[in-house]
Amino acid sequence: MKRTTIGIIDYDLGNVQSLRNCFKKLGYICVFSQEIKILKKCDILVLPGVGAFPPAIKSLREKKLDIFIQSLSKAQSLIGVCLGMQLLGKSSEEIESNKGLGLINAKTIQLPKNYTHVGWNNVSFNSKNFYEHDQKHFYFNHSYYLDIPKKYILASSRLDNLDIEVPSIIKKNNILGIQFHPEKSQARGLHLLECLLIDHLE
Amino acid sequence: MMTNKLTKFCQRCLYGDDHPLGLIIDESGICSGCRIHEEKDTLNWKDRYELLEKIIQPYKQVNKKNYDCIIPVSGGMDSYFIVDVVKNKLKLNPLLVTYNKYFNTPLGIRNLANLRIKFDCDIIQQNTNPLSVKKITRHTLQNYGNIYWHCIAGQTVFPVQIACHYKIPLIIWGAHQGTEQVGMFSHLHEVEMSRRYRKDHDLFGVEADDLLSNFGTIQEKDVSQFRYPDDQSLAEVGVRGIYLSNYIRWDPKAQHESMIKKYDFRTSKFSRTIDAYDFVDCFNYMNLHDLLKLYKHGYSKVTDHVSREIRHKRLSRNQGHKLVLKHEHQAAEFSNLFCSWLGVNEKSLNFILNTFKNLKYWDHTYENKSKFHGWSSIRDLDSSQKASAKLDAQSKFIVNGKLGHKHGNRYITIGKGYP
Amino acid sequence: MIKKRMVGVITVKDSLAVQSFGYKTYLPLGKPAVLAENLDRWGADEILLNCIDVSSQSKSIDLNLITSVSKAISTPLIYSGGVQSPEDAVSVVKAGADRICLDAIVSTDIHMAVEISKTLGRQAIILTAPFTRSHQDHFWLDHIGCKLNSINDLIKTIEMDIFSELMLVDSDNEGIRNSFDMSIMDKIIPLTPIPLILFGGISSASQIKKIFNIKNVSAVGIGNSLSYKELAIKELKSSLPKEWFRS
Repeated sequence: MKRTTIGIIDYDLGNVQSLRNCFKKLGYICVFSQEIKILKKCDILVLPGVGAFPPAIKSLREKKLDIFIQSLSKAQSLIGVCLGMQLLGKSSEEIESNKGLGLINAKTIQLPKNYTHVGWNNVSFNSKNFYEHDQKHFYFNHSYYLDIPKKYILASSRLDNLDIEVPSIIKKNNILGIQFHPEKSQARGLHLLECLLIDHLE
Repeated sequence: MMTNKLTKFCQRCLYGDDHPLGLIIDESGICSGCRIHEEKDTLNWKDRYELLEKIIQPYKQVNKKNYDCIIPVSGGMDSYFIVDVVKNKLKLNPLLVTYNKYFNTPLGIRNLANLRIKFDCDIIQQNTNPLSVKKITRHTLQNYGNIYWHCIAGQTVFPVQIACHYKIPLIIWGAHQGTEQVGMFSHLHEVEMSRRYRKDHDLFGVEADDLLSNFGTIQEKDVSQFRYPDDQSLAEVGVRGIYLSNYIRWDPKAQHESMIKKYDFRTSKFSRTIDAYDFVDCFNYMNLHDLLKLYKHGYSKVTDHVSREIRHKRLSRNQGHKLVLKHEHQAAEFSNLFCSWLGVNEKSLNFILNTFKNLKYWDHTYENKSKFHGWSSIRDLDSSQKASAKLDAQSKFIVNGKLGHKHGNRYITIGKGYP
Repeated sequence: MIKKRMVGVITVKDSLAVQSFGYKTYLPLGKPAVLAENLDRWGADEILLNCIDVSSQSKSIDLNLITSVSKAISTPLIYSGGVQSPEDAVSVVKAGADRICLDAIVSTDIHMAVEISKTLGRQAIILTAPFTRSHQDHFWLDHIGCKLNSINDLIKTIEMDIFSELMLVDSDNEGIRNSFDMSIMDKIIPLTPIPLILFGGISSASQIKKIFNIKNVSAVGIGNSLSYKELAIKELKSSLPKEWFRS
């Protein structure tokens, strides 16, 4: 039986060792590349991301990875993690106005009152498929969030200080977005990633 | 962590700052090990003993349905002293546990039997099957230049496994090696046993699961005996390992000599060190294992023993240095026993040993006449001070036995029966 | 709801993990990656790699060290020590850190600190402010320039809006168990709009209980004392209200 291949997109931003370790532990074949001919052969593509929106989208464009991601076939799945999830939207106001990859009708906007969402927060799932992860805590590290139609929100987290909810996991067809860092959320994060991948591949 | 920088030496003992456990030399030129040793003469040891009594109190079994604690023992080291303190002074009921090293000297087996009989204690012994032990030893020798991994791994994990299985939470150890050698902790920190220390320093970063590989010969069944219990198991039982050296002014030489007198602990001379007490239960620790230490780290056990005696003011630094020069390059004995046990010939063994010569301390890794420039050859000394390599009354070690016995030198096979 | 965090602090000097006492005396501990792996297994909420000899001895950042630590863990990693430019910050993140602390650069070149924050995003930047007591008053310690700055200067720096959290380090009591000087909190709390991490002389559950009862404090850093006992973090958490911590 052929093992599922995961291709982590390398666009010179951040460190992906933890993500690679996770996928390896879960038994997937994992490659890390910016070469389109390699990424084309992967079953699942992962768009990681640490840092700010402008340098990230700039780097994707320079490497022509934006066009590649936008022309993804239905046979391939795409998972955006943290900044990677925000890049999937139509636009971002972080530092300056920028267009995103436009795969989802959503925009990245700043959290109110200059708030930064850092630390372990609980995640509320809208789907019964993830009941064992509901209300568990995962590690967040962002100050912008995705303003997205409710129908795409698989899970959300409450920011008590601001009295708002932000999307923590989004899903649209073959696209999945995770705002927090499952690869930095220890055993719990690994287990959730495993369940999300199984669910997503089905 | 080998770097290319020059070794800096402590001005009091003989240690260099590239000591494998880590060593920090302060602005006065004194090392962290010597600084912590100073506490032996400044702390109130009566108070500290009372602290120990308070710590063990909750572990005393009121209904005597279980043992009060576990003591890891062997036919050498501080086993006699520890059991004497725990049983006769602290009045605890201990379960002794011991790990079969395979390299057992008749003297060590005799000391172990004498220990359990004289102190009237129950003892459990761990015997890992010889095939797994040899596979592991071949692997650690070839890949890490270490023949002792299974011994240390077994000795440090078996008591913890027994603590979990038998639900005896308290394990009582003697000395904390990091504290005693390099001052890793103050006695006041009351450091306890940890898996971290075992992986970092006892096992040079290699735990049981790190030996497994898809390509090697070592499999799950070979390593499962050496695996540390998981955190949940430790927490459920409340496993806790304390060190008597945090509560009793630790002086191995004095302690051993008291045990020789009171309980007939037997000792032996070693060619590669001044100490005759610590490692009498093993044919290899003060021989092949010690030679590998010299190859890899540029110093050997005699430097540890001498530095200890300098700190206890029984030797001067210059005297210590002379003694190191006298013993450090003595031939390692009993290699033939190791070779026939492992199934390698001496030429192959020597070839492997030589590949582990650290180029920081040796000219090259070829067999013969590789020039040594380890610690003893580069250490700065006060040459105006005269010193003799002869031990006087207070620094001499009592020798009342021999490693082997009249039927010859060979590893004692546990459970085989005599001869 | 965001939970309180226990940050395991690994202080590193000359590539060796050490116990530090007031940043004046040190005792050796071992390999940073092994300490990190241990904290990871224990469930530390974050791990701080605190490299204290980079700025003070004008060394370059040891990226291999960061990589070796990050490889061993699946816990968020904060890096502190000698980050002086956006290029440094990006290298440190590429090597495996999730957030970085800025200390010396804030005193020497605040505009550079602004650029670093723009590059990584505010969420990734922590302001490290060592403090000391002198003549009954608290001061923000510039240990590179050997100057004492006022707490007002610290507040003004925070108001520049380039940091997500402020880490207050009690540099006098660092390394001494149960000794963090809480009297500074009265000065800081009313004026600081961002959450606080406290570090330096924090070791006991009773101490952490008082600290975490302060709403603005999001985390405590614990260093030396985590090496004294097995399962140290679990023991501390189990002596504190369960609802404070993640499940």
